[in-house]
Amino acid sequence: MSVRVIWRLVAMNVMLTLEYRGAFFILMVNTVVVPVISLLVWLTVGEQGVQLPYDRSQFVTYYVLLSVVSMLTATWLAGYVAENIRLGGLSPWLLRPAPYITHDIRNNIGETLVKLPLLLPLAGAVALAFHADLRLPADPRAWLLFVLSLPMAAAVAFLLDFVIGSLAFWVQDVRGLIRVKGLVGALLNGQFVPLALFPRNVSGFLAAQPVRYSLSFPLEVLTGRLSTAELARGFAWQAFFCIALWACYRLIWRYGLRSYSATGA
Amino acid sequence: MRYLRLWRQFAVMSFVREAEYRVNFLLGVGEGAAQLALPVVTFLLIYRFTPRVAGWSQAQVLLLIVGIALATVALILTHLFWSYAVHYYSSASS
Repeated sequence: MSVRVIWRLVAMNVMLTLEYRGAFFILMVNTVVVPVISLLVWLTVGEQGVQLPYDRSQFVTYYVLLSVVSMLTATWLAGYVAENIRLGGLSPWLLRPAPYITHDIRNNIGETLVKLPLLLPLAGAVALAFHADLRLPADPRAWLLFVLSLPMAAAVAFLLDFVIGSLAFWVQDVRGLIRVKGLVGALLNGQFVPLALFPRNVSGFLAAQPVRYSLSFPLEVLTGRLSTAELARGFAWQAFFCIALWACYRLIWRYGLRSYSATGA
Repeated sequence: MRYLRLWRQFAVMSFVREAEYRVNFLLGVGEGAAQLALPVVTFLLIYRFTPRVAGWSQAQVLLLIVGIALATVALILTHLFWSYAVHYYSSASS
């Protein structure tokens, strides 16, 4: 596919998203408010003189950046993929010159482009409110590693969602599974509580599960909590999950399309 | 008494309908449990470090979470009851 075609399809998704700009603004308010509530709870705990694994500035940095990173790595496609498979909406895509997944990739980029200018002023206002404790890293290497880990985190989140949605080739209704994954994932990706605050005896499990690498890992990179060895291990896990989930996607679609059928589509 | 019988009938109908799609029903139960477990686990993690947060003990917060969950369920059930009731009366009168 040419760059021009990709660009036109992203632009089309931007226009589609702009139709719902009010709804997206409310969604972005929610994206910023929830981390602020968690931050205020942890700051209250910290003010009681309790020894926590994070200090005040690390909490502020983590939760201020959380809203931006969670928006940039967000996915919402599993339900749509499942619906297209179940109701036959996939059929026109099978005749097009690009694989179906490219449609969702462009939809994701298009929506993210619209959400970003809505979110940044809100996140900026929160950053301003907590600016006394906000500590962004001065070392350009930390930013470089963050920029490297962010698209990989988005890829892990996207592919995991896509693979779950694709189970609709064999499972009639995957909506329950999608919702359970959303709830459990929110706990295991550090959205509510940073993973460093979990009990030490589950740290091995937390490090080896994919959702950590869809949100928490880029934040851990930027808050400067990881040693060089932990960074290397983290990037290796992140790359592994990207490749493994891509392989799962290819395998599921290879066999799934053979069992796919639709009438009248 | 008539309303209680009606309520019982709706409950039986709902159960039969849910039981028809068993996997989805089980996933729904799992989802409900996960929905309740998410705030509970979050606060258990917070109370690992301190016995009180702004004067609130762990037991008080857990009671609040379960109370909110029960109130939400009660609101949904009331809404469902009235939707069924409206549907029942409108189809019975037509």
